[in-house]
Amino acid sequence: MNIFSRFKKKNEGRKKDILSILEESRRENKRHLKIPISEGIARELHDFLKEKGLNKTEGIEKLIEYGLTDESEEELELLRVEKEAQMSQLGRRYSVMRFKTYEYFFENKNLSIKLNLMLKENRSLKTRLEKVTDRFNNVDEWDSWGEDKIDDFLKRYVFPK
Amino acid sequence: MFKTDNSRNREYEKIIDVYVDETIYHKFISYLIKNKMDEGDTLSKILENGMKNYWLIYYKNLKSNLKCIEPLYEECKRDNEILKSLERQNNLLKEYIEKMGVT
Repeated sequence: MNIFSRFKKKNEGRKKDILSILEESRRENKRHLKIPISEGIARELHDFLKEKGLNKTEGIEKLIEYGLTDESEEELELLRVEKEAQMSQLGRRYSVMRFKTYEYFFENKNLSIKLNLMLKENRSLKTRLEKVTDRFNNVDEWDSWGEDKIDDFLKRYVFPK
Repeated sequence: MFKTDNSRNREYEKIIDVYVDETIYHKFISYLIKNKMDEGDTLSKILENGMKNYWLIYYKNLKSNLKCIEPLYEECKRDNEILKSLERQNNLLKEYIEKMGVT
């Protein structure tokens, strides 16, 4: 076996290890269902997952969850009417909001890391300017921020639970 | 396990092998007991319901996800505005100091 095939084999093993670790962590706190179903339903399920672009494992789990819903026929009918009218609008709103929240979160994370320095710099710049002009005498919200406020930002954006 | 007298003894050909959340598992067991069918028939019925109501439950979950994300979005947006204002003000003050030649 040459060095390249050894390297390839070693990395294949590593990849397998990582995948099995991920799979194991995914299965943690979960219960195993191993049940036979008829060929007809299996085929229908296969086509459905393919059509919706759903991953087999997560898709089946989701369908079991959806299939066990507590909604009555009347509630489902109400949902059906509401969905027809609002689905696309709500879907767009959710996608935009999720993307923006993600974007804000990472910007806030970077700004929170340097918040202590930004505050020190701001106070020093204002002190220097106070001597020559009263143009920047306005009170800003961050003027009263202390250690507690900095910790609060760090807890929320840098070390969230 | 979970075989009942109602079992249709049909010919099963595919095995569903999945891991589900504890709550879903318990709901499944309750459904099984309530409907007195065997495991295969019960799971088939549940999967059929899931496929039939997929978009409805998807929509219902979308609504509840939106309710959860809205306050988080507002909080992140508000923080972002104020942190950026502080950063902008620092740049403005530095520019002014440089222009005025303040020591």
